[in-house]
Amino acid sequence: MLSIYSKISQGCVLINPEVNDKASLIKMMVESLKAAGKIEDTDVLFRDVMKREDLSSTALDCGCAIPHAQSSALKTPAIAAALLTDGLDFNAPDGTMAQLVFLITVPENKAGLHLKLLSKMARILHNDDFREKLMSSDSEERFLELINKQES
Amino acid sequence: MKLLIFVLNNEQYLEKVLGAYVEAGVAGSTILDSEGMGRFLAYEVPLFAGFKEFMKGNRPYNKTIISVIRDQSIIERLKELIDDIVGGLDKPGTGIMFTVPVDWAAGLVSEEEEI
Repeated sequence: MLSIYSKISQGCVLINPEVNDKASLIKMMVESLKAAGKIEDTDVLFRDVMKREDLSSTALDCGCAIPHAQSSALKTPAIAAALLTDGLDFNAPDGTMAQLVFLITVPENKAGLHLKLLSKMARILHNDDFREKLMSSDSEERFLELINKQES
Repeated sequence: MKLLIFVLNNEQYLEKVLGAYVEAGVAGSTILDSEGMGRFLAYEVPLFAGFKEFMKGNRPYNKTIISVIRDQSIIERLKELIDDIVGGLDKPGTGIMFTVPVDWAAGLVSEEEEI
Protein backbone atom coordinates (compact mmCIF):
# COMPACT_ATOMS: atom_id res chain seq x y z
CA MET A 1 0.00 0.00 0.00
CA LEU A 2 1.18 3.52 -0.78
CA SER A 3 2.33 4.94 2.56
CA ILE A 4 2.78 8.56 3.50
CA TYR A 5 3.76 7.76 7.09
CA SER A 6 6.76 5.69 6.00
CA LYS A 7 8.16 8.61 4.03
CA ILE A 8 8.23 11.12 6.90
CA SER A 9 11.46 10.85 8.87
CA GLN A 10 12.11 11.81 12.46
CA GLY A 11 12.78 15.52 12.67
CA CYS A 12 10.75 16.28 9.55
CA VAL A 13 7.58 17.35 11.35
CA LEU A 14 7.80 21.02 12.33
CA ILE A 15 5.36 22.14 15.01
CA ASN A 16 4.78 25.91 14.84
CA PRO A 17 8.16 26.75 13.31
CA GLU A 18 9.17 30.40 13.50
CA VAL A 19 8.61 31.51 9.94
CA ASN A 20 6.72 34.41 8.39
CA ASP A 21 6.25 33.38 4.80
CA LYS A 22 5.83 30.42 2.51
CA ALA A 23 9.37 30.46 1.12
CA SER A 24 10.93 30.46 4.58
CA LEU A 25 8.76 27.55 5.64
CA ILE A 26 9.63 25.54 2.55
CA LYS A 27 13.31 26.28 3.09
CA MET A 28 13.05 25.05 6.68
CA MET A 29 11.23 21.91 5.56
CA VAL A 30 13.88 21.23 2.92
CA GLU A 31 16.59 21.67 5.57
CA SER A 32 14.82 19.14 7.77
CA LEU A 33 14.97 16.61 4.94
CA LYS A 34 18.70 17.27 4.58
CA ALA A 35 19.23 16.83 8.33
CA ALA A 36 17.38 13.51 8.12
CA GLY A 37 19.73 12.38 5.39
CA LYS A 38 16.98 12.21 2.78
CA ILE A 39 18.41 14.71 0.29
CA GLU A 40 21.79 15.83 -0.93
CA ASP A 41 21.40 19.35 -2.25
CA THR A 42 19.03 21.71 -0.43
CA ASP A 43 19.46 24.51 -2.99
CA VAL A 44 18.40 22.30 -5.90
CA LEU A 45 15.36 20.93 -4.07
CA PHE A 46 14.31 24.37 -2.81
CA ARG A 47 14.57 25.72 -6.34
CA ASP A 48 12.50 22.84 -7.73
CA VAL A 49 9.78 23.27 -5.11
CA MET A 50 9.60 27.05 -5.57
CA LYS A 51 9.47 26.63 -9.35
CA ARG A 52 6.32 24.58 -8.85
CA GLU A 53 4.96 27.18 -6.41
CA ASP A 54 5.39 29.85 -9.10
CA LEU A 55 3.23 27.81 -11.49
CA SER A 56 0.02 27.87 -9.43
CA SER A 57 -1.20 27.46 -5.87
CA THR A 58 -0.61 24.15 -4.09
CA ALA A 59 -3.15 25.05 -1.43
CA LEU A 60 -6.30 23.02 -0.86
CA ASP A 61 -9.62 24.56 0.12
CA CYS A 62 -9.40 23.22 3.67
CA GLY A 63 -6.56 25.18 5.24
CA CYS A 64 -3.84 22.88 3.92
CA ALA A 65 -1.11 23.09 1.33
CA ILE A 66 0.94 20.44 -0.44
CA PRO A 67 4.04 22.00 -2.02
CA HIS A 68 5.76 19.33 -4.09
CA ALA A 69 8.43 18.59 -6.66
CA GLN A 70 10.31 15.94 -8.54
CA SER A 71 13.99 16.66 -8.05
CA SER A 72 17.46 15.40 -8.79
CA ALA A 73 18.32 16.25 -5.18
CA LEU A 74 16.99 12.97 -3.86
CA LYS A 75 17.03 9.29 -4.66
CA THR A 76 14.01 8.14 -2.69
CA PRO A 77 10.72 9.91 -1.96
CA ALA A 78 10.63 12.02 1.19
CA ILE A 79 7.94 14.01 2.94
CA ALA A 80 8.16 16.76 5.54
CA ALA A 81 5.25 18.27 7.41
CA ALA A 82 4.48 21.46 9.30
CA LEU A 83 1.72 22.47 11.66
CA LEU A 84 1.12 26.20 11.90
CA THR A 85 -1.49 27.39 14.35
CA ASP A 86 -1.50 30.87 12.83
CA GLY A 87 -1.30 29.63 9.25
CA LEU A 88 0.67 30.93 6.29
CA ASP A 89 -0.44 32.33 2.97
CA PHE A 90 -0.14 29.75 0.19
CA ASN A 91 -2.38 31.68 -2.21
CA ALA A 92 -5.35 29.41 -1.59
CA PRO A 93 -8.25 30.01 -4.03
CA ASP A 94 -10.60 30.54 -1.08
CA GLY A 95 -8.15 32.89 0.64
CA THR A 96 -7.66 30.72 3.71
CA MET A 97 -4.29 30.36 5.39
CA ALA A 98 -2.56 27.01 5.36
CA GLN A 99 -2.24 25.52 8.84
CA LEU A 100 -1.15 22.08 7.71
CA VAL A 101 1.60 21.87 5.12
CA PHE A 102 3.02 18.69 3.65
CA LEU A 103 6.08 18.92 1.42
CA ILE A 104 6.16 15.94 -0.97
CA THR A 105 9.41 15.32 -2.85
CA VAL A 106 10.19 12.47 -5.22
CA PRO A 107 13.18 11.68 -7.46
CA GLU A 108 13.06 12.84 -11.06
CA ASN A 109 11.17 10.68 -13.56
CA LYS A 110 8.88 9.29 -10.90
CA ALA A 111 5.75 11.07 -12.10
CA GLY A 112 3.50 8.09 -11.39
CA LEU A 113 4.56 7.85 -7.75
CA HIS A 114 4.43 11.63 -7.45
CA LEU A 115 0.83 11.68 -8.66
CA LYS A 116 -0.22 8.88 -6.34
CA LEU A 117 1.32 10.50 -3.25
CA LEU A 118 -0.17 13.87 -4.11
CA SER A 119 -3.63 12.42 -4.70
CA LYS A 120 -3.58 10.40 -1.49
CA MET A 121 -2.36 13.36 0.55
CA ALA A 122 -5.12 15.59 -0.86
CA ARG A 123 -7.72 12.93 -0.16
CA ILE A 124 -6.85 12.30 3.48
CA LEU A 125 -6.47 16.01 4.20
CA HIS A 126 -10.04 16.58 3.09
CA ASN A 127 -11.17 14.51 6.08
CA ASP A 128 -12.31 17.13 8.62
CA ASP A 129 -11.91 14.87 11.63
CA PHE A 130 -8.39 13.86 10.64
CA ARG A 131 -7.34 17.47 10.10
CA GLU A 132 -8.71 18.55 13.46
CA LYS A 133 -6.78 15.80 15.21
CA LEU A 134 -3.57 16.73 13.40
CA MET A 135 -4.03 20.37 14.37
CA SER A 136 -4.30 19.39 18.01
CA SER A 137 -1.01 17.47 17.93
CA ASP A 138 1.52 18.76 20.38
CA SER A 139 4.40 16.59 19.31
CA GLU A 140 5.96 15.02 16.25
CA GLU A 141 5.28 11.58 17.69
CA ARG A 142 1.58 12.28 18.10
CA PHE A 143 1.41 13.82 14.61
CA LEU A 144 3.01 10.77 13.01
CA GLU A 145 0.88 8.40 15.06
CA LEU A 146 -2.25 10.06 13.71
CA ILE A 147 -1.06 9.73 10.13
CA ASN A 148 -0.16 6.10 10.65
CA LYS A 149 -3.56 5.42 12.14
CA GLN A 150 -5.36 7.24 9.35
CA GLU A 151 -3.59 5.10 6.77
CA SER A 152 -4.23 1.77 8.52
CA MET B 1 -21.96 -10.49 -27.75
CA LYS B 2 -19.61 -7.75 -26.61
CA LEU B 3 -19.51 -4.05 -26.01
CA LEU B 4 -16.51 -2.69 -27.87
CA ILE B 5 -15.13 0.55 -26.47
CA PHE B 6 -12.49 2.47 -28.34
CA VAL B 7 -10.97 5.67 -26.97
CA LEU B 8 -9.36 7.35 -29.96
CA ASN B 9 -6.79 9.89 -28.78
CA ASN B 10 -6.11 11.52 -32.14
CA GLU B 11 -9.40 12.94 -33.41
CA GLN B 12 -7.98 13.54 -36.87
CA TYR B 13 -8.21 9.80 -37.48
CA LEU B 14 -11.94 9.66 -36.75
CA GLU B 15 -13.11 9.56 -40.36
CA LYS B 16 -10.70 6.77 -41.27
CA VAL B 17 -11.55 4.91 -38.08
CA LEU B 18 -15.26 5.03 -38.79
CA GLY B 19 -14.52 3.88 -42.32
CA ALA B 20 -12.71 0.91 -40.77
CA TYR B 21 -15.74 0.19 -38.60
CA VAL B 22 -17.92 0.06 -41.67
CA GLU B 23 -15.43 -2.07 -43.59
CA ALA B 24 -15.09 -4.54 -40.72
CA GLY B 25 -18.87 -4.95 -40.59
CA VAL B 26 -19.83 -2.99 -37.49
CA ALA B 27 -23.51 -2.23 -37.91
CA GLY B 28 -23.72 0.81 -35.72
CA SER B 29 -21.73 2.85 -33.23
CA THR B 30 -22.14 5.82 -30.97
CA ILE B 31 -19.47 8.50 -30.83
CA LEU B 32 -18.96 10.42 -27.62
CA ASP B 33 -16.87 13.54 -27.08
CA SER B 34 -14.55 12.75 -24.23
CA GLU B 35 -11.56 14.12 -22.35
CA GLY B 36 -8.52 12.48 -20.87
CA MET B 37 -8.31 12.29 -17.09
CA GLY B 38 -4.71 13.40 -17.09
CA ARG B 39 -5.46 16.41 -19.22
CA PHE B 40 -8.35 17.45 -17.01
CA LEU B 41 -6.28 17.14 -13.83
CA ALA B 42 -3.28 19.01 -15.22
CA TYR B 43 -5.31 21.87 -16.68
CA GLU B 44 -8.34 22.20 -14.41
CA VAL B 45 -7.07 21.30 -10.94
CA PRO B 46 -4.39 23.75 -9.67
CA LEU B 47 -2.76 21.16 -7.40
CA PHE B 48 -1.83 19.05 -10.45
CA ALA B 49 -0.66 21.96 -12.64
CA GLY B 50 2.91 20.73 -12.38
CA PHE B 51 2.05 17.67 -14.47
CA LYS B 52 1.36 19.60 -17.70
CA GLU B 53 4.84 18.71 -18.97
CA PHE B 54 4.16 15.07 -18.15
CA MET B 55 0.97 15.27 -20.22
CA LYS B 56 2.65 16.85 -23.25
CA GLY B 57 1.90 14.92 -26.39
CA ASN B 58 -1.42 13.75 -24.99
CA ARG B 59 -4.38 15.26 -26.80
CA PRO B 60 -6.70 17.40 -24.68
CA TYR B 61 -9.86 15.86 -26.11
CA ASN B 62 -10.64 12.52 -27.64
CA LYS B 63 -13.47 10.45 -29.03
CA THR B 64 -14.96 7.38 -27.43
CA ILE B 65 -16.70 5.02 -29.84
CA ILE B 66 -18.99 2.37 -28.40
CA SER B 67 -20.58 -0.51 -30.31
CA VAL B 68 -22.30 -3.78 -29.51
CA ILE B 69 -20.83 -6.54 -31.64
CA ARG B 70 -22.00 -10.11 -31.93
CA ASP B 71 -19.38 -11.53 -34.24
CA GLN B 72 -15.91 -11.84 -32.66
CA SER B 73 -14.27 -11.91 -36.09
CA ILE B 74 -15.45 -8.36 -36.68
CA ILE B 75 -13.54 -7.22 -33.62
CA GLU B 76 -10.41 -9.01 -34.78
CA ARG B 77 -10.65 -7.51 -38.25
CA LEU B 78 -11.35 -4.07 -36.83
CA LYS B 79 -8.29 -4.24 -34.59
CA GLU B 80 -6.09 -4.90 -37.64
CA LEU B 81 -7.58 -1.98 -39.53
CA ILE B 82 -7.29 0.39 -36.57
CA ASP B 83 -3.67 -0.56 -35.96
CA ASP B 84 -2.96 0.32 -39.56
CA ILE B 85 -4.67 3.70 -39.28
CA VAL B 86 -3.18 4.91 -36.00
CA GLY B 87 0.21 3.27 -36.41
CA GLY B 88 -0.36 0.60 -33.82
CA LEU B 89 -2.39 0.76 -30.62
CA ASP B 90 0.69 -0.41 -28.75
CA LYS B 91 2.24 2.97 -29.50
CA PRO B 92 1.72 5.27 -26.48
CA GLY B 93 -0.90 7.97 -26.89
CA THR B 94 -2.81 6.42 -29.81
CA GLY B 95 -5.77 5.08 -27.89
CA ILE B 96 -7.16 2.09 -26.10
CA MET B 97 -9.62 -0.55 -27.25
CA PHE B 98 -11.31 -3.14 -25.07
CA THR B 99 -14.44 -5.22 -24.77
CA VAL B 100 -16.84 -6.14 -22.00
CA PRO B 101 -19.41 -8.92 -22.21
CA VAL B 102 -23.01 -8.01 -22.97
CA ASP B 103 -25.66 -10.41 -21.64
CA TRP B 104 -28.68 -8.63 -23.05
CA ALA B 105 -29.40 -6.01 -25.70
CA ALA B 106 -32.39 -4.64 -27.58
CA GLY B 107 -32.63 -2.45 -30.64
CA LEU B 108 -29.55 -3.80 -32.39
CA VAL B 109 -29.52 -3.91 -36.16
CA SER B 110 -28.33 -6.99 -37.96
CA GLU B 111 -24.62 -7.05 -38.73
CA GLU B 112 -25.52 -7.99 -42.31
CA GLU B 113 -27.49 -4.80 -42.88
CA GLU B 114 -25.93 -1.72 -44.43
CA ILE B 115 -25.23 1.22 -42.16
